[in-house]
Amino acid sequence: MSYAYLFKYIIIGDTGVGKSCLLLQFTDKRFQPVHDLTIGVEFGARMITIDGKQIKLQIWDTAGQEAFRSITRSYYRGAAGALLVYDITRRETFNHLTTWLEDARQHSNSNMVIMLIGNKSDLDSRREVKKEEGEAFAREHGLVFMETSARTAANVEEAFINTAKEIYEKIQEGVFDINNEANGIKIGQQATPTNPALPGAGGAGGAVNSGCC
Amino acid sequence: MSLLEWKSVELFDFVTLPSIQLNENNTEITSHCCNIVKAANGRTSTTFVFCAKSGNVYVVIKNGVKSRQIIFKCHDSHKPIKLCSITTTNLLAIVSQKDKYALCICIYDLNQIKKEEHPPCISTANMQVSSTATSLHIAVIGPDKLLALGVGFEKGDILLHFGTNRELALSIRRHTVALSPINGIQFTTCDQQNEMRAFNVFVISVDAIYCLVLNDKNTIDSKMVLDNNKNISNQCCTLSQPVVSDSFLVVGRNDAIYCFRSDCRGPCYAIEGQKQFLSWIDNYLLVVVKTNFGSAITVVDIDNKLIVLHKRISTVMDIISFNKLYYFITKDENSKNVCAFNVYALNEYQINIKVRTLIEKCMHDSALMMLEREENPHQYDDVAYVRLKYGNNLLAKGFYARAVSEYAQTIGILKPYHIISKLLSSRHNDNLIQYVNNLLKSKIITNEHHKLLQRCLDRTSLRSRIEQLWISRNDTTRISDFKQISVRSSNMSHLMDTWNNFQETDFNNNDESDIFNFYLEYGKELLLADTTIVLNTMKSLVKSKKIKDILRFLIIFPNYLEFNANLLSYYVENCSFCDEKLLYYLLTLYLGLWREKKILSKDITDLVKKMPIRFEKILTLSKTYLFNIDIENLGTNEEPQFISEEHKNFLQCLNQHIKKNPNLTSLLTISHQSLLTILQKLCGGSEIKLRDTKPFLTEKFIKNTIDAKSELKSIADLNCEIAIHSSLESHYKQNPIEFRNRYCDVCRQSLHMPAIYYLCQHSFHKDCLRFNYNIKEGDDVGCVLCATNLKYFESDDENIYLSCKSYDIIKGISNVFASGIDNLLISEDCDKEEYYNAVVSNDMTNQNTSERTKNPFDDNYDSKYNCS
Repeated sequence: MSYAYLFKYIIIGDTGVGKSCLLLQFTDKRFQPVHDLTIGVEFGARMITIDGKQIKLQIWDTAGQEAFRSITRSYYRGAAGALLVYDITRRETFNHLTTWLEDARQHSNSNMVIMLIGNKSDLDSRREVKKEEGEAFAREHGLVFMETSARTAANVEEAFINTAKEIYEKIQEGVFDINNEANGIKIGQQATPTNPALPGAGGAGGAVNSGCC
Repeated sequence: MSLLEWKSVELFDFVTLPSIQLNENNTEITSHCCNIVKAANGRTSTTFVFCAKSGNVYVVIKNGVKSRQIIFKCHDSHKPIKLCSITTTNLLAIVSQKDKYALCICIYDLNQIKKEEHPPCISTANMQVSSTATSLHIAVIGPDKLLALGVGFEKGDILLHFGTNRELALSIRRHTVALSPINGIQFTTCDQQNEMRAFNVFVISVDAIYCLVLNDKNTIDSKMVLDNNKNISNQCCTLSQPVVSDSFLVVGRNDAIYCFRSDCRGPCYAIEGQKQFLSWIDNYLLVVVKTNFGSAITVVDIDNKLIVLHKRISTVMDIISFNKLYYFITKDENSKNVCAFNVYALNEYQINIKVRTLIEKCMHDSALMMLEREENPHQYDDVAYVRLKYGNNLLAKGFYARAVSEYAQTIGILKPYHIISKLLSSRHNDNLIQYVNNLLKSKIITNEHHKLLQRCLDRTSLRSRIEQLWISRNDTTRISDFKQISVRSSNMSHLMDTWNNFQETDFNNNDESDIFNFYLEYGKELLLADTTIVLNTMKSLVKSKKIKDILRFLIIFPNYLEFNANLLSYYVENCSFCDEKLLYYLLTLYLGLWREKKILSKDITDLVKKMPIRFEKILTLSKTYLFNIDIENLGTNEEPQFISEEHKNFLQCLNQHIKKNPNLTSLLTISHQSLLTILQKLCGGSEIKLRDTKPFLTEKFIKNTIDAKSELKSIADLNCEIAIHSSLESHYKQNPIEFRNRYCDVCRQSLHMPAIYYLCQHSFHKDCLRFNYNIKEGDDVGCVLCATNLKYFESDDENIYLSCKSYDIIKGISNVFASGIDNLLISEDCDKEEYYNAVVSNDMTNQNTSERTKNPFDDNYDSKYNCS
């Protein structure tokens, strides 16, 4: 499947906030209630359409544990977008956002689009972080904010696609140097077959769904 | 935290294969490589190559159990062999390098080995280089089966060849790629689809990873740095055997395993440790990590996030992986031959065994994924079976919706009966509807299924009707309609109404039936409001004989034991004639209260004393409630009086019979009464009923109770004794006898070396002994103080005997030993007294004969009394 652009994403946040579930919901449209810990960095991909153009999202799902920080940091570089995820039912995951944000800003390129995600919005009865607090944090740090639920798929598509739209807009504005792959953007070769199967990408290219919207 | 945190299930068998012994015993192996070739007939042959420093090449070809070995001399044998590598088509490349400059590359075709002949050298290249060769890789790639060869060097440059076998010397070229030693080179086909033949070369140096595009003219078209970090150390690499098309590079570092494509990074998996070898076949990642004890082999199923094998073996020298086959070569540590090698193989279990193992471990989702990966003609049946099991498992865990979703996927393969039978319970009504609706969608639904669906829907509406009725229950006075519904559900306002009604009610004008109906309707709610008032009211009704059949009132409040016990107790006390049943019921209530720790054992004993209840029934009820009735305090020490006057004659008769026939004593003394009853019935031809055997059991039970009590007492006594001994033991453990004095027994000054310590607890400076007792070096001497003491005892034999009896025996013996007397022959049969006498008398003899035996501790000292 050819694409116009390839955007590289990274999903970061504390352990257990639902990063892998968000990725699984976005790439496979399914929810796995019992998910094994991510040990290292895993990989997913999906095609979306923006402004009539096919865009491939290549998403790195990172481990949230402190022990893996040194491994995951090496993946910040070369990412055009980041999804910074916290769990609305666990206050401490919200409190750690500043550390994650500092880490991301330090190790990534300055133009990286960061979206703040308050996940598990379906568990409203156990909510510990108000939506307004998330919005305030995002406003303060210049992020885009959204509450999602990997279980019900609420806002999951929007979170990934809105980030892609923002990156696309920045490309149109000339903010991103698209010839430098270190920015996490690659210009596609429309005629060449792409997306060879990488481990973790759902086997035989199964994770890549075309034409999502 | 690492990948090893994943769930573990063993899906591989670790097999030891026949070991390899080279025909030469003590040659230094400098490099080795191996390969598996699958023949047209489907059989595989394994080739192991060991290159010696001497220039000899040992090729071991294993074909099943058959094995043959060929030794040949390398083409340029005056240079030591440094590296070797083999292609999947059995082309062997050997690099020999004498010093840092002269390098020779030879390629042999091992397929041409016939019998014991040497393989032909099909290509050779000699060249001058600037540093030591550190890595070699040879591969046959592309549809044209072109030979790709790469040699990496210490200074970061590489030699690359891409073309036919014959043109090696002409086309091989040197390229400068990295600044640090090259650790590995891997070749793979290129994505480019132009006419020019090209392929990707992954070059791994210690601190960077590069991807080069090499064309058929052996020039580099492009070079991409995939990773570059001075803080990392790349240890080993491999190329994945692809699932679909492209391979990717797998690099092992200390912290994790990283994947790279020719143009980007891939995922990484955190397995810590120094990586020796990596292999990636299909979905299995094999990692060999160097450890203190040798090597740790881990095989991980990346898709399923499972550790499918974790094994520790001695240090792995090499691995071969081919089409789900893994071989490991280790040095045979037990063999004297340094050229002996052990070979191990990993065999993947059959899919049915794997699935069964996974199901046993409740890993149904992994089993499903594995089945879906397999190309099995019975796949759909197997998948449906696993889904059924998975559904059952989820149902048992309470995940009903997910269970039904799994069941729904078996429609069309499994008979619906298997699923429906599991969902018939009313609590699964919604799930059953969901399943039958799925049947409806699949269009394999029958009339019976339609009827079932209708029944399920009726059941749903019935439930809603009941709920509706409950909501509107305030409009009716027939609470009994809802007596099955929890009292807690009643609302407070209704309770208040009931209470007011109760207080205003005058029972004097009602008969017992009305009172019963009243309590049946309002009783439970009234009890919730105030138990005492209800109890007092009922007591007054009992007293005024308004309530005669108390039992049916008690049944209204089955969960209020205390209330029932109080009421019944009052009834029994105030009733002139009381049914025996009520007494048993009262005892049952008391026992229930005792079990709930609301009353004491004494209360039950008092009750039993007061009530005319049959003793065996008391025992039976007590046993039921695990209550240990105190028989002695019941005042029924004598056997329960079962025997009537009439039976006494039988007893007398029986006693006389026993006297005449002593051999029947054991049988007849068990239970005269019971035995006689049975005998009487037997003789009379009447039927023996179960209750006739009851006295046997009762008597046995009483006997057991008494026996158990005496046993308990003796256990308590023994426990007491054990406690005393334990305390004594702990005293000895915590306060051990200290044999080493701190002060010299001669000068009373602090001891310092050289010093002598005796078992008798006397200790001396060596110098004190020398100056005060005139003992010279090399003298075999015992404790001088004890020797003096013994001299005193020697004066009077009787005194010794007396003293040994009254004296601490251990101290006595240690004195004797310390005096240098240990060479005694002690008969095992002689008792302590004789033993001690023997010791003493022997001592006397030895003293007299001046034959000093050695102190047992003397062996610990040298001639200068220094501790050895």
